[in-house]
Amino acid sequence: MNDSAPSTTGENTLIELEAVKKYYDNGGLGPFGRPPVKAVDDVDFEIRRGETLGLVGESGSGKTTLGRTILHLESATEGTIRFDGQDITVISGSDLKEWRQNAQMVFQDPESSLNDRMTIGQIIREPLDAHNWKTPPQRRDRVRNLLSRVGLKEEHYARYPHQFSGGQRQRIGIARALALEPEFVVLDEPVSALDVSVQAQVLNLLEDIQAEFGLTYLFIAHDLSVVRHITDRVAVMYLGNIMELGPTEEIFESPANPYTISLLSAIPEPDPTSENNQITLRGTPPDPRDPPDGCPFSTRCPMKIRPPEYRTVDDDVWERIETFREVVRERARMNRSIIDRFQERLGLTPGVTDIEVVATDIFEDHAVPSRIQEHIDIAVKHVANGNPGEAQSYLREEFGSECDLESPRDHKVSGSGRTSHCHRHRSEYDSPTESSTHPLTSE
Amino acid sequence: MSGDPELRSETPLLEVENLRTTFYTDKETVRAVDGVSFSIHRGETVGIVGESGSGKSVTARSIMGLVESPGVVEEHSSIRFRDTARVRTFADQFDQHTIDMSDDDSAGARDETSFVVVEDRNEVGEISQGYIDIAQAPENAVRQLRGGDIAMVFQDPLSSLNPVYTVGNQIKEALRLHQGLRGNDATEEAANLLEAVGIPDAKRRLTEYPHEFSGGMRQRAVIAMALACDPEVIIADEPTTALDVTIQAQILDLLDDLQRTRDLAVMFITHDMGVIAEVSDRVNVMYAGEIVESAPVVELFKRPAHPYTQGLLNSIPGWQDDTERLSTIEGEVPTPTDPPTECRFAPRCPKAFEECWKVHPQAVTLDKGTTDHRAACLLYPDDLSTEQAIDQHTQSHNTEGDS
Repeated sequence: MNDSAPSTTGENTLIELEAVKKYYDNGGLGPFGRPPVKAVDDVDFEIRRGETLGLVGESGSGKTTLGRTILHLESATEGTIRFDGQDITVISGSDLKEWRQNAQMVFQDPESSLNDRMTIGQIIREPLDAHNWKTPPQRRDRVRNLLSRVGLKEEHYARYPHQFSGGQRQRIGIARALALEPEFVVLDEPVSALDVSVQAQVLNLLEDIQAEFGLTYLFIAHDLSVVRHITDRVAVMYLGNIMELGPTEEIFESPANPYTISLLSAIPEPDPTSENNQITLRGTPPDPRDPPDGCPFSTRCPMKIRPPEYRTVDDDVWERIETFREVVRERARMNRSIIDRFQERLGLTPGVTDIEVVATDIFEDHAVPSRIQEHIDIAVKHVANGNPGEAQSYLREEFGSECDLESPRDHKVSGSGRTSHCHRHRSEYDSPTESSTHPLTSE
Repeated sequence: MSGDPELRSETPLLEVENLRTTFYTDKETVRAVDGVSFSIHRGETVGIVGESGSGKSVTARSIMGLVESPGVVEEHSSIRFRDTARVRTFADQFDQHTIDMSDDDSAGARDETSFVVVEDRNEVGEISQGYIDIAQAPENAVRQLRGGDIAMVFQDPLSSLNPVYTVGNQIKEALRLHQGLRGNDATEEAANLLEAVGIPDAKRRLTEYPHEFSGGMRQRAVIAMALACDPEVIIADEPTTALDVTIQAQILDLLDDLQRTRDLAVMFITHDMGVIAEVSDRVNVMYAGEIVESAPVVELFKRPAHPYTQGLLNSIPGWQDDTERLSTIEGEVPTPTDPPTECRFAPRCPKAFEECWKVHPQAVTLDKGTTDHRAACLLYPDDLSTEQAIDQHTQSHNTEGDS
């Protein structure tokens, strides 16, 4: 494991990302253009030689896109990616092909990442052929060596993928990635399609190979227990942003960012007697086409900063306000055609305008202070008048804080250079761990 | 998930006994479920855990009557559903196929087609105890149970929803079929259901299509559909496997809430030991079509007995103290094609000895003092010597063969 090296660029750094962005679908000009999907939004980090960096996050957080962008399978919209000091976002042609030998990928789904019409030997040989590696007999030898290295048999050379189980197919994928002796391998969810006993075999294999060939891994996964086992450092991603990055054990022992805290608390532990305080997040991640203006996690954050005048409001009531804001946000985002609006005006589509009922339902059984009710009523009026956008900004004005307005900086939170993307690390606020209403028991 | 076992009624709501489901193909005969027995009480969650190919989903589909050709639920299998209200309606509706055991005269006159069994009546002559054997019931009877008394939630919510109908339409369809609600009543009830599964702004959501829902929302909508028929039993087949961990937490919370408020019996299938530990009251571990271990959840994790269960727990990263290297179970889950004459786990078992290849182990209690924890392994009962234990397994295998 890599112990707390200072986070300056040096001999140790293999890959360095600076302000990397990947936006999709930003075509469409003028008033007809839709906002782009911000799959990766301003990411900086480095991967050190010989380490395993974990990239975790929920589906849609942009982790696979980031992995593919680092390998130049997608071109970055902005930013630089330096591999051994060379900016790979600008290389092309034969330079790119040359560089590709150095960086390989193992894919998630062993069912679809192998060509069913090719033999195992051909599949593993393909990168060697493509790069014109040595002579054909030497290539065959290389493939045989690789087969036995990943725990398959040499006689498997002439068989087809369908004759193998999921775990064996993943070994084939690994052998193919190793064929050109790369320095760096992106492992995109390499074990998530496998059963737990087979998964352990593949994880052990990956660790052995790394030690033997001195590989650097970027390990993308959503299964946090696997990540804890295999990585040295972890980057936690949410909505295209890195929320927290630091040494694995440190993050799992004492997460600093509210998102990491919530994510870790949600893992079911294989221990029926454990009484860890689970934080159940409300809602789902926002649309990456329309991310929140402030902190990406602000729409679901259980530790969001409140405006000073509302800090004493009952947690439950505050939760309802956030739920109501979510409903209004959804309504503002609803892509309604002119026909829809017309029908609505004429009262032909029932059920969409009854925001009063929704508001009453949400705040039912809760004593809402009149100073809050006032604002809710105004917002309800805006929505009822067909202006959910106005209601949304009104609510943000009234109940929002810096969390809704500006994106937080990466604050250093420990001696090892761990960073966390949260306003709560500013000196004027309680840190996320202190402010949590759900006291966290460390494992 | 819930439950004081003391408060539970004595008779389980659903009893599965000796369930065998076989798939006959030209190439081979696959014994996907091979002699599985367990039961579920009201308010109880029974977890079924195993790797892919262990037969957990086929077990669920057999209970739901969803096994299709070339699959066959074998003759001596029995799936007894003991909901008194349903037994009463079925006894009226299918009186040709009902046997009344409460009446001493006609007892035992069971013919091939009977599937409703009345066991006892109260003073006024109403049925007070009985069961419906789903394994023997004809399709039109099973259809009333499926989606009515027994609902199922599948792994992939997108494939359980029809992409060309709004979510509201689909929930209302279930309400019309099973509760006869139509029009505004149905819309009202559908909105209530969506709210009950934690979807805010439910009225508007009803008019949306499945693709407009996120993964977690879709699974909530599927659960709302399952609840539309006010079921007694929910069979959840990997309901959270396709979801992210924060969304999984929401769905598990929701299922727990619903179970509490509605006193549901839940059969929860998963491969995730963490989820099993969180939701189950009792766990059955399946391997190659058989239940190899069965115990209350705390007991199972404290004292895993079968070498397979031990191996499974040890291969979870982060579970072992030694994080350097994961222990593994070598090899892969076999496909059971022949009747068992040996232990199916023996080829992968680190503790296997010679007899493991000769004797098919039976589910036995771990020792004399234990009643609630069974394992199908020749190492048990562990208070007997190995020879005595093997004798016991051989004898019960023979008596089983005779019956």
